[in-house]
Amino acid sequence: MSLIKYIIKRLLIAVVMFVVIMAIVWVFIGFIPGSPIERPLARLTVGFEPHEIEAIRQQLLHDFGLDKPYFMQLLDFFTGIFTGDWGLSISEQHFKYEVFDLIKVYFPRTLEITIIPMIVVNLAAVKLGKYTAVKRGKTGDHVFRGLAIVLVSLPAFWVAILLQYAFREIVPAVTFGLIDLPIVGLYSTKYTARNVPYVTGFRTIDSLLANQLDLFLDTILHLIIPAMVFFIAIFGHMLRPARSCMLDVIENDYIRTARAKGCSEKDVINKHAFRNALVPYSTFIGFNVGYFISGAAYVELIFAFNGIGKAMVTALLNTDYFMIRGCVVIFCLINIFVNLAIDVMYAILDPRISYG
Amino acid sequence: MNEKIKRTVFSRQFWGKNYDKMKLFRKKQFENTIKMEGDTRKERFVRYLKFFFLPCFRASEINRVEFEIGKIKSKRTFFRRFLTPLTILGVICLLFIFWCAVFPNWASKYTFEEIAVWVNIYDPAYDTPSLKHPLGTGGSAWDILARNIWSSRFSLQISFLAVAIAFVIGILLGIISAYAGGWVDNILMRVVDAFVVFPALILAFLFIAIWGNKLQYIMIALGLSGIPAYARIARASALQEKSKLYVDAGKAAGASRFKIMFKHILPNAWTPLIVRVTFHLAVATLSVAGLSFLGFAVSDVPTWGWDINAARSHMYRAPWAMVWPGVWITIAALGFQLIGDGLRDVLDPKLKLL
Repeated sequence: MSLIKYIIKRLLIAVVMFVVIMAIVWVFIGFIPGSPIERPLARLTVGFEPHEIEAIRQQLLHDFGLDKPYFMQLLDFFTGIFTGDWGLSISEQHFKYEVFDLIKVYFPRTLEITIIPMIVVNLAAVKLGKYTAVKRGKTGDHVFRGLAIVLVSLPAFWVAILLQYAFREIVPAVTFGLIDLPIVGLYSTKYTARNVPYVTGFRTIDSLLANQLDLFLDTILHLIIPAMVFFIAIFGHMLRPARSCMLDVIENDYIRTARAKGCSEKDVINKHAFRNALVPYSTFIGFNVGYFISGAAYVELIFAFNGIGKAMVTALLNTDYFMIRGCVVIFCLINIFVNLAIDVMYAILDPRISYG
Repeated sequence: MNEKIKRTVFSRQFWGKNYDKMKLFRKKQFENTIKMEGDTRKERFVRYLKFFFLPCFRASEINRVEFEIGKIKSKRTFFRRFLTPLTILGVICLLFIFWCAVFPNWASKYTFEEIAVWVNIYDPAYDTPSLKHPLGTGGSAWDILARNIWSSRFSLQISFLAVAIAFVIGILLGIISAYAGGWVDNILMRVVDAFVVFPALILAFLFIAIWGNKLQYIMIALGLSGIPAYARIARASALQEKSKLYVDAGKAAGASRFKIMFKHILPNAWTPLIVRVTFHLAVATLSVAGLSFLGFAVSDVPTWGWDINAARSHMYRAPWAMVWPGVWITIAALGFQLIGDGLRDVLDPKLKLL
């Protein structure tokens, strides 16, 4: 019962937090100097008479819903979040496109490059954390701890550029052209004319559904280096908590008891220690979600990968109000949802904690 | 007599006008040395008698002296435990970076004006490493070594101030919410949770979009996004300290709430916060570099990230221009990380990474 109460309480807090954050974002975006329609207006009305410009300005203000009172705009925004009406884009490239449709295109692409490294990183970190904790103070432990420290202090964007350089200049030369991975873009230029129907938004899945195997392989090849960058950037951050969680568990009395009753060392580590170490480790998964949001921006900019991170950066540079707001909404939703899921999962996995 | 006068005269000649200062220093030094007080013949005799006739007698002076020796010993063990090979490596990294940041005029052959001026963006002069320019040239024909040395100053300034903002506000929030408890605690912690959910990058972007492309706004945004970690750590360790006896003693003695919070609880809750500062410095250095890489930096203030961004478009022609700033970033972050690791091992071995 108390668990259900706890979950409901967390859910309510999450909803309140979402509303408050959205209001803060709204206020912040309102502070950006200049009207959002100045830029498109200047673009659309080259050589027009002043009274014509005024008419077009009024028309644009009406189109974007900016002629309403301030409070009504806020209300529109909050209802729009649930009805899918997230406003229209103001940028030159996607003028008057629905923001929700743009995000529906961009977001799966980001998910596509982040989700596989995320899973791989967590599996590898857990596995290596177990290994280093068991071999504490020995050579293997020192090697992986040193590796983790070095990886943590490498700037991700620099690693991305170095990998780009290496995979264009060094690796093909060393391997006599056997390994020649594409270093930029979503897919090769020869596929630009190829139309793939939008089903899930993931290009890999869509190309498979459209029965285009060559495009699928090409997309996979383009995903490899960004995925490597994500892996390098996040691995050190996840290995250290994995090790410390495992070390905490190994020092407990019940591990000694398990050894005393005659369990084999393998069983002690894998069944008694490892499973208990996974519970505190699960709280750290939320951390890398936050990281992927900012990491996505760098990686997508460097690899010319039109995902949500790049969309957000370009929107901020063009002061594309509704697009900024849409990106913030989606990031905050993910973050709140993941934090909520982790809290609830932790409460279910570890019944000892107090539901405070 | 004669001997003494001679000695003082010589000493005066040697020390000159600092003679009085030296005497005072000697006197203080003498006062600070561990010595048994009340060492007159009479008191020594009384102590001797007490030692003989009172069972289990122990002079209070001995306790004091033992305490002093213990303090010195613990200090020695602190340094002995701190100076592992990895931490020494970290100290060397940081010394290098601080040498660059504090004395760039001495460390580099070129002045600030020579490396900070962007002359012609359309015809950048990238030159291979030579004797005159050990790491080559980049951008507008500036020496990359000198440029890196100068930019370490500005990069470190931004990250230090960001950490300072996060540190002060985070500790204030954490300790107040731990001490006050109840609804104050609830509201403050929800505010902190909201800061966690808010991505740092978006915050920085919004600040820059509102107030313009200035370094202080990057600093403030990074500082604000660093608050939650400090607030949570400060709250956790202040909650532990709050239930201890000395807080009750302070209350009974009539200390104000402010005094109890910041004079009694805070000094006892320092350790995890200090460890966190070193790690946060590493993270902040990387984030500053990242933000300036994205172009959110002023072009006439050299920073590592901005240099990498500028060299990126000439990557295949001149890889050295993009490699070296990254090496500097890595050295700085590595130094902070290693020192943080060492400090954590010494101060609080059970502390988890947060």
